[in-house]
Amino acid sequence: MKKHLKLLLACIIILSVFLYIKQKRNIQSPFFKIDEIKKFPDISFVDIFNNKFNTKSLSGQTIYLQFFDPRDPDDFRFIR
Amino acid sequence: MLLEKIYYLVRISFGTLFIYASLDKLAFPQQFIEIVSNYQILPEFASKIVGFILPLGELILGTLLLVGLYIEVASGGLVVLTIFFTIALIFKAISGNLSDCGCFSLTSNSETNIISLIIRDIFLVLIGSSIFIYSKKNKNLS
Repeated sequence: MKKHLKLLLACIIILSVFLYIKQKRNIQSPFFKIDEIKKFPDISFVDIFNNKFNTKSLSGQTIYLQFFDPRDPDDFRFIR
Repeated sequence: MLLEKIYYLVRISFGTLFIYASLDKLAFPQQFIEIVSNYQILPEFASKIVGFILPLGELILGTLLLVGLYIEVASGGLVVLTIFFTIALIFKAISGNLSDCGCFSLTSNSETNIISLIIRDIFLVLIGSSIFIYSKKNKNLS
């Protein structure tokens, strides 16, 4: 019985960690799919993206932008 | 009795430490894979596998140690992991590689003295080994 309770506690801890991680990812390092970026054509990094990659060759692929600091829109990188 | 209390305190702290260490790595796996690749010890595909499995291992083993399940397996596993970290850091120090260590946080800490990181890891190996030995000698403890 005690072992079962410990197993339950372990599951709760692991689940809590994953919920915390999910929240952390949303807050600290937002990822945007390229389709989502296209909804905001005024954002300057679309031009940067087009210069960096040949978009035709990337058809069907998902590209992410990773922001290192959510307050600094210039501090990002592309992840394929 | 006092020794038993110290044992519980150390075991819970050690488990919590590894759960904490896994958080950033699990949240940002791509960054952690990059850090593992920067060690230049493993080939690219192995870096990816290690980058995904290692944080999960830290989380699961740390949780087992925290709740007191399979203590010998958990402490033994964490000691082996820490020995690997220490070897990787020694390799990094020898090769003069100043990239991030990726130990507890993925933010840049390349200014941290690598020797102090190695000493810290050796200290962690000793703590983990003590938990392993104590729990093996006192099977009734949980």
